[in-house]
Amino acid sequence: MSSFAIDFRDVRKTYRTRRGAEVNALNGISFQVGAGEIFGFAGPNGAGKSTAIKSLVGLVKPDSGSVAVFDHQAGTRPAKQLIGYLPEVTLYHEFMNPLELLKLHASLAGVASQDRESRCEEALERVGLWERRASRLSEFSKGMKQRFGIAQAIVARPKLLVLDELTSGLDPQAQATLLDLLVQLKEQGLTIFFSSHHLREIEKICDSVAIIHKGYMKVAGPMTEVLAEESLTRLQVRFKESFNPETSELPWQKDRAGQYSVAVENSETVPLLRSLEADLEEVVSVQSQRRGLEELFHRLTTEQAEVPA
Amino acid sequence: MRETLILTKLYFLGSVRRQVHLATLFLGVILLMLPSYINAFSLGINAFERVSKDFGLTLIAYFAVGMAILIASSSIPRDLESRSLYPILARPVERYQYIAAHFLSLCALLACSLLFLGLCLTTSVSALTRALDLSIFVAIFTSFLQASVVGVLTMTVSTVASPALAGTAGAFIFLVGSLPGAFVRFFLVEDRENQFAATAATALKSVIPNLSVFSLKDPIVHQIDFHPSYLLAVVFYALVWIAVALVASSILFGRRDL
Amino acid sequence: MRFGLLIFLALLLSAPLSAEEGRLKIETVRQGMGPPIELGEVAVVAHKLTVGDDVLVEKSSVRNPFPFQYGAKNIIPGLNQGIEGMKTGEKRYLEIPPHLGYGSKDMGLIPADSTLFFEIELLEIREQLEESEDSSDPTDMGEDLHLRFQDKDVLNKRHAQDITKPAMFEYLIRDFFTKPWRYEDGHLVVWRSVGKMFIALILLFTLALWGRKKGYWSL
Repeated sequence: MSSFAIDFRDVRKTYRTRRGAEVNALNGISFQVGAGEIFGFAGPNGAGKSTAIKSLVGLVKPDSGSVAVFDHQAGTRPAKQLIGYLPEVTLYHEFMNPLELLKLHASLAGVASQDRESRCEEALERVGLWERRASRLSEFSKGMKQRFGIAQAIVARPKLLVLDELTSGLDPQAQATLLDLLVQLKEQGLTIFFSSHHLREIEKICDSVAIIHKGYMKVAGPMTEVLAEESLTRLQVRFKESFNPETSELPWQKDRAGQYSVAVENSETVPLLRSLEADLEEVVSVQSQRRGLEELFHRLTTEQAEVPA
Repeated sequence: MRETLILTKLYFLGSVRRQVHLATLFLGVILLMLPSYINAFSLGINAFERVSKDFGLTLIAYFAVGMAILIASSSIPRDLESRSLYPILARPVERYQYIAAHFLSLCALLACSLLFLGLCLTTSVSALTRALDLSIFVAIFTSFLQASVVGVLTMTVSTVASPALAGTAGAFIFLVGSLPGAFVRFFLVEDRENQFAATAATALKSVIPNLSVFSLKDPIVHQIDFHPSYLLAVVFYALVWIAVALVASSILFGRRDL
Repeated sequence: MRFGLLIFLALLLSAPLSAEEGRLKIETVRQGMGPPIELGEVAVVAHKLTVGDDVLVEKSSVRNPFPFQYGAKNIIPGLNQGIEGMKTGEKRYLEIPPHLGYGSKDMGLIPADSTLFFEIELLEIREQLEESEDSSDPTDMGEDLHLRFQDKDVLNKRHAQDITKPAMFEYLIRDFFTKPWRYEDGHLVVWRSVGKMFIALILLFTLALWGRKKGYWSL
């Protein structure tokens, strides 16, 4: 009995197009998501994110490997009862109002009839749509529809929330609102698995991250560990007056105290200091600096080799 | 079962919101107005009653099949296109329940429409003959069964094909299934030089339901008796074909990656 | 005495056998409608005559039917007896023993003492033979089809639209009105179809459950 909320083991999936060509969507990906954490799933378009998510919720059957949700095989009834899912692009039955549709989802999810009203109210209150419960979904903005999507995902109080491209197409304000909501849900004990193109938001709220590229898992693990390997050295120095740093190729940044700083690869620290020895007045500090997720993502997804990390 | 009924209600309401029932209303008005344009072709009250029943029941039968094909060919592809079925199938809902829900909502829509049209026809015939004849509903019931069978087969094709292809297949099934056996024999089987076509036609007739068993318009219109077990046999015939189609479509849809 | 008893027993035992062999067998494959044919009326049939091991002797079809007068002397007794009570649209299989057929006469394709197997379908009942249809040569066997139809060029016509319209239209109308509910056993025909489809349903359902168990599809 494992303690993982999600357990992907060597999952492979190949699609066959109408013309007979084969597309390898997933090439033996493996990763685990611990219970109670927010897990970010990143990758460029066509990397296989949606296929991985669909195999998690049972919409797609992997060709080989296994996907488990709290030790239940993904796609089975026990697994589905634990999941709340928000797809990437969904047109809901827009002739209905949020309350009607939410009640329908609650009854499909098996919520007892006496609890349905209260659960729907609770879910709509959480996402801030209770006042608009009687309006038609066709009148909602994209941000409101996404909020409703979260409401339908949480109405049955799932243990795992799976969100595909939650914030795509939303303005920064709406994005921030949704991310705050996710943090609140995590504090209530939910495990949250969400995919996004916005790496800043993944870096901001996620405990763990995985990056997928062309069906291969490039990196997966706790955020601190993943980014710890990717560290730079930040040099803070004072130059002699005869030296003009702007002539240098490096992007030196000047602060108010007249000191200059730059982040370089760890391996380049010593050679750089040697080359500047004659122009340096003082080395103020040498510190390790974590590379951002964006840099890591860019490095991993522009590699030519297709072997897994 | 519970999930099936919940989804049936959802899809039924969806069809109603798409104003499918307006077509029914339109035909209902035509049926109510039958007396005014049939009368010119009939000779006396007796003939009028038979002619208008015949005409009305034929219209209703074709309308039912047309409605079934149109709705069944597009209901599942529309869900796939809009991805509105993703959050539903991510719930503890089996795929066969989803298919069954679409079929049951089609049946509910057909039943409501045909009941209404039957009332319109009965009203217009009774208005002139001054006698209430409810036997029309027997023919309408078998038309309902026929439309359900054609509809479920169209739906089966729609799980793996586009709406246009599914609709064409449905129309083909209706035409071939209604074709008199002699027609096939006359043009193909009797011509021994065309053995391949003869075999193909006979094979086709055996995999497509024989829809001529559902046509009870003639005995109702001409008041000819038939064996009481016949109607029961026809009901079971429809049920078993519907069951076969639902199992087949569950398999086809179950293999599909969404 | 004993020998005589044996002979008597042998004759007694062989009597039912010979009676069995000598009986005309009639099997109605499909019911017809309307009044049964009466003596003197003309039966317009589509038929197939075979002997022995499915050796086809002659045939006629819907497009080239064979009309003959019911009860006429130039028709073999077995055929006359075999179509007794036949209605329009009815189809029968007849097994005619030699003594009701051509007997010991060798008729070319039909050897002596042959049992004749007729597959016969009554297409139409007419009042009388058309003049051109009257055949005085019942023994006209051979490989040619029986041409009793008015339009002698029918053999050369290979497409339905070339056939004279009344014949085709008549047949379609006839079939249009012979819906299953019209037959006495019409409901049994439907029940038989229900049975066949039920078996197909059981097989398909088993396949569905097996595939689900194997993981080929999720129901």
